[in-house]
Amino acid sequence: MADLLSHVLIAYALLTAASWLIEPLTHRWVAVGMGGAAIPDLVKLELLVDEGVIQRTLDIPFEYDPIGSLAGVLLIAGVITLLFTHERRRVYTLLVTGGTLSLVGDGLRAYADGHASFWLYPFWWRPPTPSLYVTSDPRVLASTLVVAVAVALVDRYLVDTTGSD
Amino acid sequence: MHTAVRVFVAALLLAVVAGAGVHYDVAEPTHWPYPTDDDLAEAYEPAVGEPALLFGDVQSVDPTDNTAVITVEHDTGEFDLRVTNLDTSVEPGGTIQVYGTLQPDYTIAARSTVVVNPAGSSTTYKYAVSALGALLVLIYFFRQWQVDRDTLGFVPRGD
Repeated sequence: MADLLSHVLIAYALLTAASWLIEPLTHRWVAVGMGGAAIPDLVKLELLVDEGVIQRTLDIPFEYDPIGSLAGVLLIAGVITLLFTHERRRVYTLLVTGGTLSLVGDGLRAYADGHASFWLYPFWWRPPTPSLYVTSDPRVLASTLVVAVAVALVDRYLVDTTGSD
Repeated sequence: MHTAVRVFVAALLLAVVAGAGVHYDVAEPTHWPYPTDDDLAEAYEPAVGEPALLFGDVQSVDPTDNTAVITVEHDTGEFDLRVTNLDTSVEPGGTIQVYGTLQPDYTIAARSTVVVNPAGSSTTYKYAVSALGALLVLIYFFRQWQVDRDTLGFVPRGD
């Protein structure tokens, strides 16, 4: 997947820009959306506990991959929502929005056969991909950085945020 | 909502995530249109002539005849595969995806390739940048939210 920093920056840029039009979407909620954007990256838990270890220890088939899919985002956003005590519906909406942005971004990555990974699991296995980029390409991060900084500057100096938090 | 209820529902949701992990592993082969790396490790020759999409770490590259040797990892081990018609530039230590037709003797005639990591250092780059991302999201989040000890949940800062 695109790196976690790109995911978080893309969510920041898009949600902050959306906040200029949508009154209740304040910085506090942009922060929740950015957290949601990190959900698919929890698939990297495999670096801590290899799925092979789980398979052998429990003697069951197992893969982490669903964490980095739509199913994972919908479920894990639910778990994180329970860490909040107020306005859970809005928390969940923002988490899922952020997570979906990351999944869509990852769905555009290059695959040699033109079909993406299982990001829409369990609804659609391997949808087509336009193969726009690979994560290791530094231009991916460079462009998201430029956009995020531009958005931050506009948000700070050009947008009237009086009354927002 | 009572804390015990929240913990229970959260555990339930996590159990469904774990269940999805099991379902995924069982269902994946039926949704993968090519022989898998495990299939090829078990019996290679029956798959000759079929298309396949494989991921591997580059061992060596021979630019004179556009070939490379990659190591493909599977569930229980790894095997080496010769890639012909390589149309991309990659260094040993890098990672590529190869889509092509399987040839005899662990060889694949590439129809298209994607360089996932041009060199071994790309993985370090991705992890370093991702660690920065984790830090950024934590800092940004906790500037807006804090943990309320009474209700054991996040509440907006400054309220």
